[in-house]
Amino acid sequence: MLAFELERPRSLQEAISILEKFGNRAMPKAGGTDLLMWMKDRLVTPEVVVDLSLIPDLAGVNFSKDGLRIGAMATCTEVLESAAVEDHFPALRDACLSHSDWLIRNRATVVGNVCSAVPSGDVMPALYCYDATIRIVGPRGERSIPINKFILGPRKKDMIAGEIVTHVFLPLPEGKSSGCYLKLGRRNALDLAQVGVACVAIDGKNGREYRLAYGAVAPTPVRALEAEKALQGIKAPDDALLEKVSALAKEAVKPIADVRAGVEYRLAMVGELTKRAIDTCVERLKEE
Amino acid sequence: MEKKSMIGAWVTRVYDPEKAAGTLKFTDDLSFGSELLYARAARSTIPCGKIVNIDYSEALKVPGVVKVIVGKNFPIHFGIYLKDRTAMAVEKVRYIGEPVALVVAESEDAAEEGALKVRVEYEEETPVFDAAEAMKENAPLVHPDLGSYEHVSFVTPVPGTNIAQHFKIRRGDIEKGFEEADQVLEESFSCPQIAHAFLEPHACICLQDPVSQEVTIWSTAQSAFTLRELVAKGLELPLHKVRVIAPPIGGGFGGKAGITVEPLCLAAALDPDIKGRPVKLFVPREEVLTTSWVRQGWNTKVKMGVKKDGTISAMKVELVFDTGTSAEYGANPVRSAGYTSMGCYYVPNIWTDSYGVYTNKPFGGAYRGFGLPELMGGLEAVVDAIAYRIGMDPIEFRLKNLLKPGLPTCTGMPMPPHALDKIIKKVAEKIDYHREEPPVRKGWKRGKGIALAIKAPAMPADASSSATVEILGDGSVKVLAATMDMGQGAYTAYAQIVSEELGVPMERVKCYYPDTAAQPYDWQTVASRSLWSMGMAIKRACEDARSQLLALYAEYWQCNPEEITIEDGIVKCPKLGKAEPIDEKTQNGFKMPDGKYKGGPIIGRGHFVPPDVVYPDLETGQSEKSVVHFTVGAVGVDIEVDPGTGEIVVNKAVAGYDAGRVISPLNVKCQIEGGTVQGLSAGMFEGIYYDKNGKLLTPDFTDYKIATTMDVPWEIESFCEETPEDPSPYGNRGVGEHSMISPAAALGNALYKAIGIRIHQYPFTRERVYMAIKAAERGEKDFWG
Repeated sequence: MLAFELERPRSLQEAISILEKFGNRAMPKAGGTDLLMWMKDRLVTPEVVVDLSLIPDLAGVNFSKDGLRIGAMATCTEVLESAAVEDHFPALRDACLSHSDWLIRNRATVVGNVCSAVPSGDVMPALYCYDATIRIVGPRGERSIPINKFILGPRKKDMIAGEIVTHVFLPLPEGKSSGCYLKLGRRNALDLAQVGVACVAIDGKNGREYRLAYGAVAPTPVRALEAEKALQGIKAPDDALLEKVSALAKEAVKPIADVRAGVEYRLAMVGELTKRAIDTCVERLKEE
Repeated sequence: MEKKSMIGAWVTRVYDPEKAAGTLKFTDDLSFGSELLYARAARSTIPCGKIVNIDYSEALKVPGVVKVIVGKNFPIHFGIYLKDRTAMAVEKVRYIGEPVALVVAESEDAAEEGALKVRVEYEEETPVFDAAEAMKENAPLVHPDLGSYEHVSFVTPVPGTNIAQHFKIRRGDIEKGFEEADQVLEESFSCPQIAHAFLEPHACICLQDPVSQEVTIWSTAQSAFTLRELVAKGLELPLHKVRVIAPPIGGGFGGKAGITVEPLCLAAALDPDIKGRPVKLFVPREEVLTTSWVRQGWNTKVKMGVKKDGTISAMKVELVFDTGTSAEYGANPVRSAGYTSMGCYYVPNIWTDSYGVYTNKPFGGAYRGFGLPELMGGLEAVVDAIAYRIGMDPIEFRLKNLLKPGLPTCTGMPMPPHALDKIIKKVAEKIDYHREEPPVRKGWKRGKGIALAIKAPAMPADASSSATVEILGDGSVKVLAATMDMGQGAYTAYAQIVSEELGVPMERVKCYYPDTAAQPYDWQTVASRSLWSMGMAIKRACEDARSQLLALYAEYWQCNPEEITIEDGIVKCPKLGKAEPIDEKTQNGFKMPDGKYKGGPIIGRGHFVPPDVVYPDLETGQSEKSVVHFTVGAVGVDIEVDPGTGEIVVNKAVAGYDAGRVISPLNVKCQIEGGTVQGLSAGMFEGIYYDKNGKLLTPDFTDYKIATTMDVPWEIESFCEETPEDPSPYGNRGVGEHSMISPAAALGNALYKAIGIRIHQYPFTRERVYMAIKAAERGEKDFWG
């Protein structure tokens, strides 16, 4: 790894001014589990690394009647151990639990996983399903942006120099809900998703509503809106409908072939895991 | 009451507390002060071509960079069996990642930054990546100078081709054997290169004294003495002027045997401008696969003649090992597979060609099992497939053709005694092989499979060992035996032997990590040879020390040596009613009844060399004793497959080996369990892949996947049979590597049972298994993708 300076600001304002001063020569660090690897591989070469861990405003997971606030420094472990996450955002809990292993989850942050913006980021499909918004502060003040507008492409996001993501916000689903995240990797732990499928089912004002989002099968996570529509209002989808939905899901994604998996397998798994995820959500809603 | 023997005792492993606490110092932990320099390689970005120019002027401008060394500054060929390898590319590069220059700096960061600034101009040449392509006539030659390379007499390169090694077996009449057969069947299987994935990457520190020219090397080496010898030969130094210190290593599996990354570090340490300062080379994980060897890729093709009753009448075997850009060490696993190419079967007519073939990829060499996981990964799949094709139960087919004791192997050597038939039956029983059971998981497919294992230590005929055992002045014992204990538990077993032979408590025996300046010679810690060969040396050293001590006590007490015993560190003569703990007299001498001192420090010496191995004939492979012994065994697995994703879960794995005699049951159990997991991991996950230009796609653990604790079998059961070996310290024979040999093949055989299609390419990844299931649904019987 090439040499760098480490800054450890104690306030948001201080962090913003350092990041603004150094522009694209500086990078913020939360858990650092991606950043340090990328630096080691020289994919990024920041001269200044700005460690956010001493800034009090960025800590914690907070739940209110409106929804869930996940601070930029909240680790995957903190999130998956939150009772509110277990009760109201099970797809996110599954996603955190599927991420790497316990050691890394104790350090890696949910917001960091979003900011890395890699197509296989485990927490993102769940956040897409929960309509998460990204809250940012920067030299020009605060702003809020839906996650699907924030993620622009592989390792690309809508941020300018000096900006920091302070937290993500997940509105509370309007109605009784269930969710899950199914991840297919090459092995059972410590792997990037070959395909990741998040599904959330909500019994809302307009009846049963489904949300489906996919990771690692397009340049960014994607929602399968047509597939969701086909399921709208149906509490017990039959095999024929599940087949149709999984075909629609395959149309929503655009996987590449790489050393981790080929296109044919990824598409087949989008279909298979879609059916399993919907089944799981339907079953979980029955249980409650 | 009979004294409890330490041989076969369940004891606590030595050095584990220090490892667990993190206080044991590994090579990278050693401190050398501010004199230390750091080296980092700049690497080739093309797979094949001539070096036109290396511009390192920018590297020299990096603050802290001391010097840049290129291949032509250090063109020495180092190597154990075939000297086809230099530390850095000289004139020609042969793979992406080959070191082309070495940047030496005052800090690791400066060395790394300097290495990034080296610019190389190449004249590109046509590479060859596939071993089958490389064997064709007119294929581009990876080593046009192959004919001029020095090699040992038992390695046979074919100059003017890419064949670095061609080992032959010609036994019986192959044509007649096929004529006698009622069916002649062909099968083939293949596997990509795989990696050792040891926890500790390579590191070494080299230092040359500018006055004496003596070289000292601290290295993550499995084999301190062989490293000493190869360095001394390469540098034309006498052996006593090369000292190798090998601190504890964090896993080796063959990847740290022979000479590996040391020449690269020596290129800097011997430089006239640097000489006198220690130079450290730490190989980062991402560079391990391009700096040292991997396991060779392979393709096994077998044509088998079988009679109506299931007897094998003839076998033609073609093994093609993809050895990458060097066969320096890799030539020998090719040979090892060749002279074991009958597997566990009696084959009256056998014809084998085992080839090691150069390609423009990182190079292949020793890896746990040394040619046998490669051979048996193919052969045990072939045997299973053929059993099904002729409509015979795979276990019955194996037992029918078993290489029973006394029958000739493919080299003509009579098979020594073993209990393989018993082991096969036990393994089959323990996984309930013949009972079709419903899957544990809803909608999954279940299957059971078995595969046999065989391996001899693959080593030169004259691989020797020696040890000293010194009884210290308080009755504790210092053992100098230059085996590397890299987790296999050698020092624990050695302490058990010393405790048994000398009658001292095991806790009072200490084995030290290798240092060629302090310890007597041992060839290498490889080939599952240590507890057999070094075991002989240690046992003899104990006998020597014990007889010295007893002779002194006999005179001191005025009795016969036979009347004296040593138990629990107490020397006793029941007849005279004397008993005392071993004390300073053993160090300072005994004051004898005549008033004169006798004795002095008691040092027992022992050495061993296998007495009667004869190298196989180069044309026929025949030899009355081609190897010292064979260890055989079998592994069975009970698995389930998720047809929706291709995921495999191993419900149970059972593995049994004929260890001759188990000296250290805990270590043997650990070795079998570890090797079973390593073998299943290779079978399910592991492969090294390249893009079409030969660039490594799996340089680190992001994309090179090995099993985690979440992927291991639910249950592993291991057992040993004990048919004694001779000569041997206690009847024991090698058992360290064997558990790695056949789990992958057993897995493949179970998969066939589960999904009804034969997959011909390892590893059985989820994607490959899923695709095979789809092919099976289309009615296909074989899957090659």
